[in-house]
Amino acid sequence: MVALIVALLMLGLSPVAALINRRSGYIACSAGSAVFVYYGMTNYSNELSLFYVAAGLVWLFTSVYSLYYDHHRWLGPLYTSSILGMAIALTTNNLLVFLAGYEIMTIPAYVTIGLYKKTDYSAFVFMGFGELSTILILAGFLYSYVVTGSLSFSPLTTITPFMIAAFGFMVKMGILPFMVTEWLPIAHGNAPSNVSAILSASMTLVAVYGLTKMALLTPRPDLFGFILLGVGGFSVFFGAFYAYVSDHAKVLLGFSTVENNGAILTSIGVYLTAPTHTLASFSLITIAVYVLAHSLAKTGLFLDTGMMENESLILPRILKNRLSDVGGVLLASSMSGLLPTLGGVATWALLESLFMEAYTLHSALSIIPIVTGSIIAMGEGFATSTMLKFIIFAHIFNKRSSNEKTRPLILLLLGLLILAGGSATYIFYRPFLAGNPALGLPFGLIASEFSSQAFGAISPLYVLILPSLIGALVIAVFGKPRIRRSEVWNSGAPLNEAYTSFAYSNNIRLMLGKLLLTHIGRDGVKVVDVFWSLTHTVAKLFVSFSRHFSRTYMNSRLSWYVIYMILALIVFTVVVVA
Amino acid sequence: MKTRLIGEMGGYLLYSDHLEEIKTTKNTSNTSQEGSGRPVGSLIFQYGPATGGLIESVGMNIETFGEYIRTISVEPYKMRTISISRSIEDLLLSVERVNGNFAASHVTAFLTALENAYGVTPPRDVILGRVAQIELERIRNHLLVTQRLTEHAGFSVPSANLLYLVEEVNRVIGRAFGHRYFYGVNTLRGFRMDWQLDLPTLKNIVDEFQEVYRGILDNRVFIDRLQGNGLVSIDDSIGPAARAAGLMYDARLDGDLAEVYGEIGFNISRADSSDAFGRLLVRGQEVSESLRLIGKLNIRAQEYEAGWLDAWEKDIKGFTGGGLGRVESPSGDLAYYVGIHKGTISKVLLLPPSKVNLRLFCSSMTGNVFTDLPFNWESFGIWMSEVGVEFV
Amino acid sequence: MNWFLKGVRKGVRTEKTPSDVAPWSTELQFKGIEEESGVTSESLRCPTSAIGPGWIAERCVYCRRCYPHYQPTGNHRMGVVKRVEKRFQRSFYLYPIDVGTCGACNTELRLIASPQHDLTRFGIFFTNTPRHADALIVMGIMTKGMREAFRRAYEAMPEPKLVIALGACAISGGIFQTEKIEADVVIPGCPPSPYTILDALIRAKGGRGW
Repeated sequence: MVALIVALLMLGLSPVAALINRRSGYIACSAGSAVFVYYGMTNYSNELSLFYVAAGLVWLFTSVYSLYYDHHRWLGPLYTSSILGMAIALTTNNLLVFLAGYEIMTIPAYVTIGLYKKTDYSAFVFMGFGELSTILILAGFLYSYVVTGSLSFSPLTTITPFMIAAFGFMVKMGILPFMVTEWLPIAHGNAPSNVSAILSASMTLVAVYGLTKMALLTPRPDLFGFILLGVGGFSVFFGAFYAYVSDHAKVLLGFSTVENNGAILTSIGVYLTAPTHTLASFSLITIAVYVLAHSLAKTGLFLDTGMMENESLILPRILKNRLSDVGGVLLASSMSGLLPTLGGVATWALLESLFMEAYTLHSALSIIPIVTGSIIAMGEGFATSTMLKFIIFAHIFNKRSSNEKTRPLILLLLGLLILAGGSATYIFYRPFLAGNPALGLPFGLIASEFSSQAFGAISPLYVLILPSLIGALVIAVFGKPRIRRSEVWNSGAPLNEAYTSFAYSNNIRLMLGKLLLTHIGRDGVKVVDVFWSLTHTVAKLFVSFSRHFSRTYMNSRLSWYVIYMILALIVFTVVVVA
Repeated sequence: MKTRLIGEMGGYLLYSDHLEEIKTTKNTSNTSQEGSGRPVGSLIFQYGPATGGLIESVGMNIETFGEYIRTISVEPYKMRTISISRSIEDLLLSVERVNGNFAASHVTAFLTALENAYGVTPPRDVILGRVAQIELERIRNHLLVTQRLTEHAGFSVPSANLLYLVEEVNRVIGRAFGHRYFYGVNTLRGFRMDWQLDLPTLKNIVDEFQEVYRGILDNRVFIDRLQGNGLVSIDDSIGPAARAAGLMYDARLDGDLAEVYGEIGFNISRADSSDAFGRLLVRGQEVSESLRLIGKLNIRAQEYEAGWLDAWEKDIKGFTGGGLGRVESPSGDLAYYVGIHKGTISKVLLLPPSKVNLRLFCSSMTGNVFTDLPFNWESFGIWMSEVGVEFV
Repeated sequence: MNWFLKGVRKGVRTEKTPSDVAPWSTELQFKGIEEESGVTSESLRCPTSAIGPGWIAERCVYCRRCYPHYQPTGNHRMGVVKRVEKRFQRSFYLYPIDVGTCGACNTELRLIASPQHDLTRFGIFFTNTPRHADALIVMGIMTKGMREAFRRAYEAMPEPKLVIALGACAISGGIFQTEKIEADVVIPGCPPSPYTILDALIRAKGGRGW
């Protein structure tokens, strides 16, 4: 408990420190985050504690990175206040304090996007959806208060508050059809890399946290759990799909967040609909592991984009550095769901839990997890290609040499953490550890099971150790491989132009043109986020319907509107906390 | 018959009935056009010159933003120059080697141009012999084009069958003329033939081809690669590409050998789709038609000695003039213009069919995808050897 | 009918021994009545000076001006193998590069894959990249545009490697009288027949020829 107070104090101090001196603010924030991680590890009560570790690690790495990245006067205070808000939301048990923390986390993000805006409406869109999320959550919490008569998170007898709040959290998570909340602020708000990491990795983590926490307190819903499961599956597919056809490095990562949040939502769905207790606890662990894997890897990849000269993958020009290359590859492997990384374990566990559910349900309903599983598998295919694209065009082509060591080192550390994290999942999956002496594996397996019968198993540790061992053995026996370097064969012509990232994914733009509304014109190929364009059309219709209202509303300047919102919410927060 | 434009040859436009000097420059580059400027994410994908996949060296610069081909330009990497300051006999040997696979067509067009310049007509037997060679060449070429198409589709059995038949045609030619590509066969005085043409074997070859051809036309997967692929604008096309679009374009109807073709009853082969599939249909019909024509010619195994050349040789020193020769090569109109100044050749202009077909290929590639490229390419029967030749 | 069955129904069409070669792609021999030394390239108007002393296979373009003094013997085994590489005995991968042909060499080389000849039974294969090639088959006259591509292809090949010059143009400049390309194996002809090509290739990898 002392650790928590220390952490919150230091995080609370950091915005003030940042106002006076940028570096001291980030240092205070790093220290606070480190203590927060310590708190999460020492007070491990259930899977929710893993969220603390994940969030703390994201803040720690981002803050240290910001020491070598941020050059803007206002960024430090805004960034640190946002983290403070998240810390409050994560650690409170009071509904209103949670909401206050949620707002403190979100408001500085509006301002940051306003500061770095490319288009006027990007901050509006982000704010619009942010407030929609808050209102829905508030409604859910109020309903909860009406039902229980308590302002604390307390067990519920009805699922309605959870349902209402779930929609609020899903808006924040960028779940289909609200994908726009993930990509638009990043694309049009042009958020700096450290803020993007916070926006995409840990703000959505807070939403997932709230959703999971509510889910733990709610009676098992029948249909709603399956709805979440299915919607999550489609979000995985569409998130990965749009990520694959994005050529803006950060937008690609933003869509990838949609994909990962979809996977987490599916896991929550499995938890809610699990027919056995074993499966429920397996999927609960999976939620937490997925959150940890996604937060760390996504943070790393966003920080990676901070080292690019140009955020378009078509012409990225990244710092040439072996450390960040290795780090980037490890992070991308995790995001692609490859063993032995953390992401590999998480992806396996998710698909495994869907198959197990289908098997144990043993009814017509089994079709839902089976179909969702196939959709997710398809999405994961796109996700792998997406990450391959990111890593090829950000790290292998178009390099620019640099002597910078610190930021690449941070990336490498994150990469190694993700790599080792895969084997650390043994701790979380403690009830599911197993061995198979018949295969020569006496221990070191994570086995999914139902009614004490093993279903499937993986071993991140063996996957980590064996290739390295075999590799070392081959080198020991045959010596270092002989390498002959020669020019790339380009059917007899010199190498003129490199393949572009746009061309890399254009096959899908053409093949699935109906889904992407692909338009081939004189100036090139264009695709559209169908869900956003639909929302946009509806919004425009609404605007023309209430022309008078919209005129007075839209004519005011953005900055005034932002200031108004901040003041209103600060007043609201103060009133609530007091 | 309406006058039709065939193509450009060295500062002149060749029409089916006359040659016209070009006054205004027209864009006839081997580039397909779609907008100007380069869109974001596009690149020039270079295919070739040493492609591995295609039979000759050719460089293609494909402008794409992935999969979709915006524009394509073809570069003949192997540019050969042929000196015209040699004896006519030696020059004839070079003309044979402008395009080995169409050697008889080239030699016939060149010799016809020369004969037209002098205003002489070779004996009818010589002309019939040339026609026979061109039709044999056509059979072999159409078989080879079909084989290339099946090979690109990974259609192994018909591909092997067709390659077998191409070799068999080559053997028939080799037995009769002593050389599989008609090198050293045609001279200023006629042509050499060692043995009777083996018509029964040739008939068997064509029968077997028709069997394979019908088989591949039944295959939906194969046909899908050709249909809608490489649609050409029909007005400026020649050869099988024009006939596939239903046009009555054939130098056998209006070229220098038209009279002979008319006498032996030549029937034009046409189709009604201007894509790669239509071109394959035309070729399939033409193989049978060529066999029928050869069967009617009844050329004899002997070398002709032409008396008409003696008069010409006496007069050779003082002659100045020029002549045009045009024949229907397997890929379309082929023309030579030979200019003579005081008994020596002063100018040779060449319009190879591949030059026109190359332009058609490029213009038909916009909007296509990579997978369709080899099929469209082979369907035109383009030989880069004749595109990259310059007479100096 | 199924294509596989169609293929089987045709039976084996591969030849055990060379059977049908066009005369004017084989070795020429002096058949005249006078002394051979009295016959020269000039007297026979040989366009590539392929006569004297004797018949020079590397230069001949088979124009037949020397006929009847020189006549074809039907012997197709004209290839000259200067270097044998036994390591390619079982698997010999060829990368053809056309540096300026008329197209005839390309077709004849292609035809060694026809069922009559079937190169694969001799352990010879084509490859689409010099990276996997054991031998570079160069054909045609060395043109300006292809010189660089030829060099790149040669450098892209792994060791050991052979260079095979195919046809009169590559070997001696042929009728075009251009430069000669240095090679380990020389296959004369204009163009060389598939028999001549296969025979030389088999000998280049340590076989007895065909």
